[in-house]
Amino acid sequence: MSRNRIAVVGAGIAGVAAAAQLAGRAEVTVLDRLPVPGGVLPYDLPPVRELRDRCHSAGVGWLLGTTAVRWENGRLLTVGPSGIRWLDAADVVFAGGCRPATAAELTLAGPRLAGVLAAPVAVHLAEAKVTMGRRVVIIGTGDWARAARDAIAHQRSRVTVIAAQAGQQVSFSHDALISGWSPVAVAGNGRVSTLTLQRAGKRHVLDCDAVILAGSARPLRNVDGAITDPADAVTFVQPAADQGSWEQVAAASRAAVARLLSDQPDQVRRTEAEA
Amino acid sequence: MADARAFDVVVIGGGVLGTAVAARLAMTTASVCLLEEADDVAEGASKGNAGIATTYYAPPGTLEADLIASSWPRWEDICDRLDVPFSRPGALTVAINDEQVPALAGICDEAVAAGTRAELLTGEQARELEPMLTPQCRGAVHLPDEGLIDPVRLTCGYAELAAANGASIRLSCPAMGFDVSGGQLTAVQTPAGPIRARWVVNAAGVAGGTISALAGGEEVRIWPRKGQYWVLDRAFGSRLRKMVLPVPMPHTRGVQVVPTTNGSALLGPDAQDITDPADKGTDTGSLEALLRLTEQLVPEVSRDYAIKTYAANRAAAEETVRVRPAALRPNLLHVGNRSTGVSSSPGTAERVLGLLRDGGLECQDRPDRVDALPKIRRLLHDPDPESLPEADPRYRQVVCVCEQVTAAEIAAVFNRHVPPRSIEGIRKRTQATGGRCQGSVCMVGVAFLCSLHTGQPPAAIRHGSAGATLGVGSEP
Repeated sequence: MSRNRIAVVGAGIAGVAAAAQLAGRAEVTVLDRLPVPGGVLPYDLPPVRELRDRCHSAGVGWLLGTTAVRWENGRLLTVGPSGIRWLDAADVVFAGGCRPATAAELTLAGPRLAGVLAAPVAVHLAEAKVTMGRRVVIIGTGDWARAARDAIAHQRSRVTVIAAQAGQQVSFSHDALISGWSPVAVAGNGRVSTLTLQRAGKRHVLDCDAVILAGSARPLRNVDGAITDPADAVTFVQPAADQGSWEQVAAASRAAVARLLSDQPDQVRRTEAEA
Repeated sequence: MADARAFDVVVIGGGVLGTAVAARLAMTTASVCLLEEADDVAEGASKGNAGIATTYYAPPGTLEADLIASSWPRWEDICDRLDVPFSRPGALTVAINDEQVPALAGICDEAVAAGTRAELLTGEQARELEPMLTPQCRGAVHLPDEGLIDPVRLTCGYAELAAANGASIRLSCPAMGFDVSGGQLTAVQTPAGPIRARWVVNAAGVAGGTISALAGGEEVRIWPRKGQYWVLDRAFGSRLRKMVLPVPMPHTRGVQVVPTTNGSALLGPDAQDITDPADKGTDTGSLEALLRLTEQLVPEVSRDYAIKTYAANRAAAEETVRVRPAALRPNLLHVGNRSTGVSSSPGTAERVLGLLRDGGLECQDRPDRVDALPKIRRLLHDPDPESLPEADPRYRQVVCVCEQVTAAEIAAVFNRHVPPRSIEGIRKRTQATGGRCQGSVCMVGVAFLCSLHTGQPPAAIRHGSAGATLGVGSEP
């Protein structure tokens, strides 16, 4: 029975597209930390609703508000409102979405300082009326950068955006744009006070009191046993960057799942025979 | 009722040695106060080290060797009582070329003479014990009893035990000066006023020289020696079976590849003598050098696994290990250690108690002393995770997914004598925000829980212990 069970971790567009594709060919359970499907998209967006309905009618199981934390020996440790449970599964489809690169991933040298925060953290703190800084630097130009800018728009901060590519334009409002320079170090005493940028051996030191990390999207991987690609019996359906429409993300997810199904002819045949 | 401003012993410094001394003394009839300048314990070298509980570091017959020898057999018992993660995976000191091989026999002989087990291995034997070791390995010394400890949890555990036994733990309370009468210290001056003391223990780490000078003691030259580290993901660290060390250099044990008690791995430390103890910055050149050095030991080392980098300053000194009365102030004890503070902390605490008794402090172990702390069950390590919600329903709420930390665990560390006071304080006690996404997902939740437990608004929540808040203020 569990030989044919597939756990889909993440109910964003990639996760529900994968689940809809797998439904009927395996016993599918979708988990998400949030209590509704959709991920970063609104739960009532028509494509999300349509995929959710297809999953429902195909008998997909839902474990919403439930966090997967560990994948080992063919079982997934899940933590949620109904308790802490092991979920047996033959495969995991991991649809964890993306996050901005960390300071270590950006090789940002210097001490560990207050005021250097990932964009999702800055957005939620700003929503809780925390003023992020008076001279804010946003590293990145994509969706997180825009979200961070929007969240602090009313805070009367001077916002400088750092774009990796020379000549790159930014579609949201800002006070200054520095493009083609790479951030290499932060400095400060307790709180960040400067960000050092580098280009072709030249350095430029920027005064600031907040640095928001909003660039170089990485796949968000946080389930032990499903961290590195390849991982045993794990199919990763995570877009490579935060660019891309939901249609592209869903299509990439379906393609990855199609490969998973074609890699497992025995399982699919048996499931079809049972059906 | 005892005077809240007079103690038998005032310990200056909330690092692993100061808290170990306070924990030991607090189990006796002596009254104890611990002063720490920062807003938390374990803010200096005690939180920036590799967490090796070593069995052998110095030649037999030295003070350092004695302190380590009287400490290492006790770790299983101490860590069980203080709820501190500990394991004994053993260590390999590895020769990676033929020139290094002759040094191994000497290391092996000296380790055995110092009282620990040690065996000389061929390269093949070493690779059987640690398959991730470089094929270039020409031979190794295996020390099977070398231990791994969480040095921050150990320091917090000592402080908690001290507090549970009635010690007064005063944070954000630097020693600023001393009152002296008849050549003896009589009180420590603090921002909160004087604290009278019959004895003072100077366990101030890098600041130990300054404390000696303030007290009118002899010159003790101590300077910061910066060490930088990479932290690599559990996806790498959990496959590492042994601590892997190079053949030591004259002044340092060298750059190591070691697993940690939470499954990650550390690369480091290097050693750079600096002047400013507040300088805890990493630099790109040093970090690159660490990767190159450690690749020679374990080729799979890669920045692709990097979670974070950090630097910390150990207290370098010509007198590398000090546990003795000050030359000019007989009721001041200097307690310090350049490299093996964690490894020697239980033995050092016993030795300080002995020195104080020799000096006339009359104290006995109290029959009603607390000798163990309540254990906090952790989702990451619990053998029966499914039963956790019965103990506390908040185990059903994961806050930090990367490190598998629940709301129940965060609530538990606030329900302590020495609770966290910042995001960093929560990380030190639970690992929340310390994983591979570095709080990208969970730091807000951790900040809000910190608000909930401290009653402070989110804008007042501090990030680190230096006083800096997450933002710079709040909107009306």
